Amino acid sequence: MTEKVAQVTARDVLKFGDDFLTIDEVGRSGLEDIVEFAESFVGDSSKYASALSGKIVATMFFEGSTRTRLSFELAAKQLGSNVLSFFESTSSVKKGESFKDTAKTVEAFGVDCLIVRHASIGASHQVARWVNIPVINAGDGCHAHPTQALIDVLTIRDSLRSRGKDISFEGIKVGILGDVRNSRVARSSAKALSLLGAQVVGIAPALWTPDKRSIETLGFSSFTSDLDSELEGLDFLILLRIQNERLQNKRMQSINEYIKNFSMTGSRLDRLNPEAFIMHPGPMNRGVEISSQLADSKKSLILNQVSYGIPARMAVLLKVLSEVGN
Amino acid sequence: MLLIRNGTVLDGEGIRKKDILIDESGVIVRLEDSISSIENIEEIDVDKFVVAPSFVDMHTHLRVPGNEEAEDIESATTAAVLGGFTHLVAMPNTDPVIDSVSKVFDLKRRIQNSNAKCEIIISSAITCGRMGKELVDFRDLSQMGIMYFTDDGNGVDDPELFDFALALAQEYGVTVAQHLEFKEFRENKYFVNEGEVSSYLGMSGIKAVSEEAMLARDLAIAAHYNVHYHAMHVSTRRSVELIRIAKQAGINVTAEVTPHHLLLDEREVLKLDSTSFVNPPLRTEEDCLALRKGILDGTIDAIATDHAPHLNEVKDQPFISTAPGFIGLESAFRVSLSAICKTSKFGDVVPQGAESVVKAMSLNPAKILKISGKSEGGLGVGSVAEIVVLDMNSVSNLDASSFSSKSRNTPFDGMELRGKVVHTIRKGKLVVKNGILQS
Ligand SMILES: [Zn+2]
Repeated sequence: MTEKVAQVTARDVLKFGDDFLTIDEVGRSGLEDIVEFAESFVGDSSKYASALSGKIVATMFFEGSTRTRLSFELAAKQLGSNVLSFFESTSSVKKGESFKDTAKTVEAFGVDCLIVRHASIGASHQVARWVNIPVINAGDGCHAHPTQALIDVLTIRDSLRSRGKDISFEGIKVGILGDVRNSRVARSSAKALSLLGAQVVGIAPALWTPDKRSIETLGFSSFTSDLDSELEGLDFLILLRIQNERLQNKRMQSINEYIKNFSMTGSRLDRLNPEAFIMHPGPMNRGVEISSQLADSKKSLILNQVSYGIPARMAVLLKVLSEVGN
Repeated sequence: MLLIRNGTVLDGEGIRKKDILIDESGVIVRLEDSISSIENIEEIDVDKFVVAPSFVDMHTHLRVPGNEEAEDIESATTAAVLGGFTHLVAMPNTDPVIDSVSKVFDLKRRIQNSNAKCEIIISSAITCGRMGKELVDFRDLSQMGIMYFTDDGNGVDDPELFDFALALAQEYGVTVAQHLEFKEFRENKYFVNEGEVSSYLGMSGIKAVSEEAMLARDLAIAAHYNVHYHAMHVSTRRSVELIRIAKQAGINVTAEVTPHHLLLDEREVLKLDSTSFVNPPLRTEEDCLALRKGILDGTIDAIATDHAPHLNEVKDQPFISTAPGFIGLESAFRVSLSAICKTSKFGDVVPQGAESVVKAMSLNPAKILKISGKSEGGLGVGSVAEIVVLDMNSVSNLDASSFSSKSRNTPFDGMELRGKVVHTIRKGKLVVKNGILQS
């Protein structure tokens, strides 16, 4: 880790009253603590059915993402909490009212926790500074999406466990493929996986690669634009959703240029290690980053990821809003 | 009349211990090793302090006209004198933009009718509305006394238009000052340096080359003219290198740096706080060191604040839509001195360091702007007393709540800083005494 960014140091395990904004903040022990707690009730969370009764959890989404919002809201409801949904597209934020005013207003409704999704990096950090209740980051621009990282860790551990393998990530090689430069999923998952001991390889077109000096701090062991030479050695491959607006600009000329070299379609499937599994945070662009054949095959853990969404978020909510998770 | 006793005079003419007597009309009438007390004359003892020509800020966003809630003439000029400045250049990127004789006339009248505490030098845009499409009327504006032209906030992207601007500047003997940035490099970017820190945070930032490429282009154009070209708020080590080379090549170029670029680097942004976003962005540690060196060796002529007041409600927006910039008038000297003396880690002030700061904040800008009575430099007998008295040694924490500016957007609040502006004397009168504004 370079000295520059090393300033962001792990705080501690997630506790009652804390914010959950990035993986970096909780560090390895905090991460293991949440993941093990989530695993303790996967499949049967009935004992926590009223753990948050009387609480109000508010989702504050300034950027559309129905599935993430629903996942958080379902998680809160399964813990007996009330849910308040606040959605406002950033363009419609009223003139004169600052972002701070909006956050303070929602806090003043008497809510106990804010779950914030925003297209601007650091938005949940800003909110956390302004309010006195726990804030959970549900995605801030291209920066962080820590609950998605929990989902990926839980999914990989489950896959290893179900095959009778050691759930330690030492010796595991994970590829993260796509627009890594502009991906909050890549940042949070690379950090989480590397903290737990996995070797994480970034695979991206040259202009979609993060600054070289930041690669190690982000949790990547290396970067390459040669997908084909990596396929054989990977144990897991996380595909990132390709944003359509990123496919035709100065950095990428056309969708075909991407498909030709980076899409998991056609003959690339045959070159993939037979023991390897594919993951995707969703929603998928079938035919762009992934073929339908692969998405629906046994090599796909995509539906497992979806099913881990709720326990991952329940674990975080229980930790910051109650004493039971501590 | 005023007698300043026991000060260490630092005015580019050598460091020496002198007493200074200022007469009723504000002119320095005696400058001697020791002047005996005169009855009924106010005396200030400034033993242990440095007495220097007052500061001149080449880069103030007055916010007048158009955004008087963030700053107005009285608040900005009060902040200025508290910071040791008696002159400031008002940037033309106001609402409306200062780009015509009538706009200059309106602003002049507002200044005349205001309670301004210091001199305000009006500058004009280079292009109408700062849109980069058509040039302002250099002829009429220069005849009206406007000597300083800049599209600050924007660079002039079009190379041919900029070539024409320098041709006109040569014709009318005025200065063209460039905000060094190609707009294409700014689209959809955060006001952070594109590099390790921005990449770690997922932010697309503004590359150093956006500044350097425009500077190199401008210098190439300026080499064809006999014209004064000024590079505003340079922020990268390669910019410093370009200026060094251009000066050696005989191009009439001057450059300024802001106090914040001297002291802070891109790591500030890791705090994810709104007071880390500024344009040009805070660069790398290596850039920071090169800028300090540029001040020490004279490659960079001036320290200019880029005082950019913003209301809290503007800073309390998401970072992608935040207004960049910091207020700087009241902290400029302390921040600059702290940065330049950093090599000695708040040990004794390197005499050369203190002298460099004074030069960059007062003597050089006065010369660049050809301020009458000040551009000659030293505190000589016969010159108007525009003086700042500085404590070079005290170290204390900055308290932004005590500022006179209407805005509070500063990254330095609470920071331990060296130095203090003790007194400011404008036209022979103590306008700031012991750090307090005199009515
Ligand atoms: Zn500027």
